[in-house]
Amino acid sequence: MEIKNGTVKDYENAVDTYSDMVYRIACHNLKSKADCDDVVQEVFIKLLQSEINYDNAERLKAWLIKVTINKCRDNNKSFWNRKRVALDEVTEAVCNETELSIKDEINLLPQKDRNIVYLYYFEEYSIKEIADILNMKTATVGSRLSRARGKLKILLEQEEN
Amino acid sequence: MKKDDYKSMVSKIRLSDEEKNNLKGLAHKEYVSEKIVKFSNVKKAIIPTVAAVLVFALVGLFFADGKGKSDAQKDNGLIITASAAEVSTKKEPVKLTKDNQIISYDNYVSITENAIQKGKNKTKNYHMGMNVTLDCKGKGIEYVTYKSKDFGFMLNDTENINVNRPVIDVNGNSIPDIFGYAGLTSFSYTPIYCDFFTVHYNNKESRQVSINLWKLMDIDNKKDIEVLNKYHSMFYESDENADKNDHLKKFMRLNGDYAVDNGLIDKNSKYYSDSDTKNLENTFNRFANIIKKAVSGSAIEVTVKFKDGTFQNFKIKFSYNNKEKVKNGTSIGYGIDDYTNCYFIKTSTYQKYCVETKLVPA
Repeated sequence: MEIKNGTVKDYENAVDTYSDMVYRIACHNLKSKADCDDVVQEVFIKLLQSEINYDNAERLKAWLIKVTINKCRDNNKSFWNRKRVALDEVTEAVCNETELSIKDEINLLPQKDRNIVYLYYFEEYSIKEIADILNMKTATVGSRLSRARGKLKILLEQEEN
Repeated sequence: MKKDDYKSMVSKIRLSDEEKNNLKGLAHKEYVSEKIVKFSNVKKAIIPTVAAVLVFALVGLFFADGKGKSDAQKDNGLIITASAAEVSTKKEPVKLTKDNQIISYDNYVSITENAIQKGKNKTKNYHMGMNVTLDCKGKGIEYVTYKSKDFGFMLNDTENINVNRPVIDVNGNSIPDIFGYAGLTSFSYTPIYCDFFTVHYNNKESRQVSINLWKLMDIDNKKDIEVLNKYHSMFYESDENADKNDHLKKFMRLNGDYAVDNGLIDKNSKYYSDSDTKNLENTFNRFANIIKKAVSGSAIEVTVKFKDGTFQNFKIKFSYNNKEKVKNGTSIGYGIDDYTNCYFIKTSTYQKYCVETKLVPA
């Protein structure tokens, strides 16, 4: 079976490989689990309708990150209740106390910084790669990351050294 | 350990298997709709064929009737062939896809002070940047060239795209500073800056290209400069310096009881007086006018080359839209959203001020 620029199998592989990532980004940006579920579905519908090449994994991944963040922005735009956050819902049952405290600190960050922290620490993109994906200056990404560390009061990078 | 804690926390956020299966199921639904589309295309293709057969039948009847029989066979063949060929290769005009006609939401306008001041004493030099996705759609397109006298282009992704020349080289040499790119030398890496670029379609009917439009502005009005400084403070420093920035603090009367999320300064409206609202409205109106001046009348020239060697030219013009009342007045939100360039101001009702540009085929 064929879809645009690939086969259904390619698409299903993309779901297996990237749906957790898309969901995690959504949870970093949105206010409720239901919103996250909606955005994940919208992202993969857009993937089916897009002409993105499934063969180029890195490009596909970056494309999915961009689309997810944009969809989250659209979703947040029509939303005024910013008191609740999706991370609360999705981590409550599965995370231990330390992880929950990390989650609380992440919640304090502005959305843009949350995305940068996620891409840098979890997806392990470089600052330059993040700048490319988010269409930002490397200097901005660097300063935001540094600011986020300060805000978190967690010297995440210490573990790297 | 902290980094590991973060990774451990995030790794536990997983989509359920049921949700994943639902996502996979979308492909089959999508496949069905593709088939429907294909069927409609087939139907379109049948029409000229049926028309040709009808013409053939009518012409046949005409000659069977005994009229003009002498040159019948030769003319008949020519007419039918020409007619069928004309119908089957008839070109639909290239259209901008609907999504590209409004720059909104994630496509935003930003204004930053140029790192290299080119303005004279009384003026300040600013870059205006606008993210926009362009997509010319049509059949038989070989390539599309986008060119502008009003904007410079910045492209992050250049796959299947030719640019006329990189305006900034890696060493920062030989920069024709038409759009003030010299102020952007720190960008001398992946993004490409150019005056025009060509998108190759490679047998596709649609090619989206996300670009950032740049414009250099000399601003000499003191109040405009003041507003841009305020804007800059609010949108670029608010989340990092909200508690340090005296100007912002004074302007927003932030007294510690505020929240900053997603670049949005959020505060219970009871802390704001009417004069604050008036100040914000004035500021946003002035800012909106700066954008209006910058984008109104600007255009991108588009040249489409078809595979048959013909060309189609049109322009994408930028216009401006501002201010729209928001009916939902139940929220306690009071804020400025830098992603959308829509500013929500609570007076008696909520008002939404949008710096919005539209792409209109000329």
